[in-house]
Amino acid sequence: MLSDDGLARDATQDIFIKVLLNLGKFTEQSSFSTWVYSITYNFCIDIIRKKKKNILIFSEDVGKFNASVEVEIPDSVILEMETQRLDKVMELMPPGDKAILNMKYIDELQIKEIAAVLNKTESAIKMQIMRAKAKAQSIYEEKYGTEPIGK
Amino acid sequence: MHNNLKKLQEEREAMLPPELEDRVSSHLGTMAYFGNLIELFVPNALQVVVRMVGGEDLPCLRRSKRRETPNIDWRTPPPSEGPIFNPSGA
Repeated sequence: MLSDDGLARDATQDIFIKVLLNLGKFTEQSSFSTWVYSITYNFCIDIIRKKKKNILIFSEDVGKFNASVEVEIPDSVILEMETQRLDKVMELMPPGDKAILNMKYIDELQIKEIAAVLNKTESAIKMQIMRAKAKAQSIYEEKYGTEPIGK
Repeated sequence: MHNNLKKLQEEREAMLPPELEDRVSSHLGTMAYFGNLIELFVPNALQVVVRMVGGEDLPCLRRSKRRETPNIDWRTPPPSEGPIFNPSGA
């Protein structure tokens, strides 16, 4: 999410300390992992915002994706992309979209859990995932033209 | 369906040095050990210092008051409510 090895190491240490110091504030309303996830996500977003003040966290800020939201985009757009290309595409994704795709497809969190982490409604998360997939598809098309996504 | 996103993550994890996990867990173990030591000994050491300068017990080390033992006269039997057991039959 931070795209910087050193920064990620420092963040890990800071997040670990933050979790320890705030253990008393954990109210068991969500699972412990969701709580840690939420701290991590917010901490990383803060770092990104400090680093680049005008950065877009989610692709919803881009007007052209709002129009294409209605169209259902299959998971294969992301999951069957050739790994090296997928790596490039993920590098170019807005950090919020990257995080949400990681939560959904790598950590396999449920929509409900992602909603708890990001403090949004489930329908907003579904919409966000769809927009993230649309963004990935558009980055792929910009970079590799109309070549088929799979191998 | 393939999950190339997961595959990419696994490839990245495979690039990490294998001893990294051991290093992190050994650091954690050391931290936990020192944490326990501090938790056990620091309040007691502080308590000694506080007592030496004439202070009172630290609230965290103050023992809970024991229940006061009732003043019972063990020589008189308790008032019985049921039948009295009399083995001699007298």
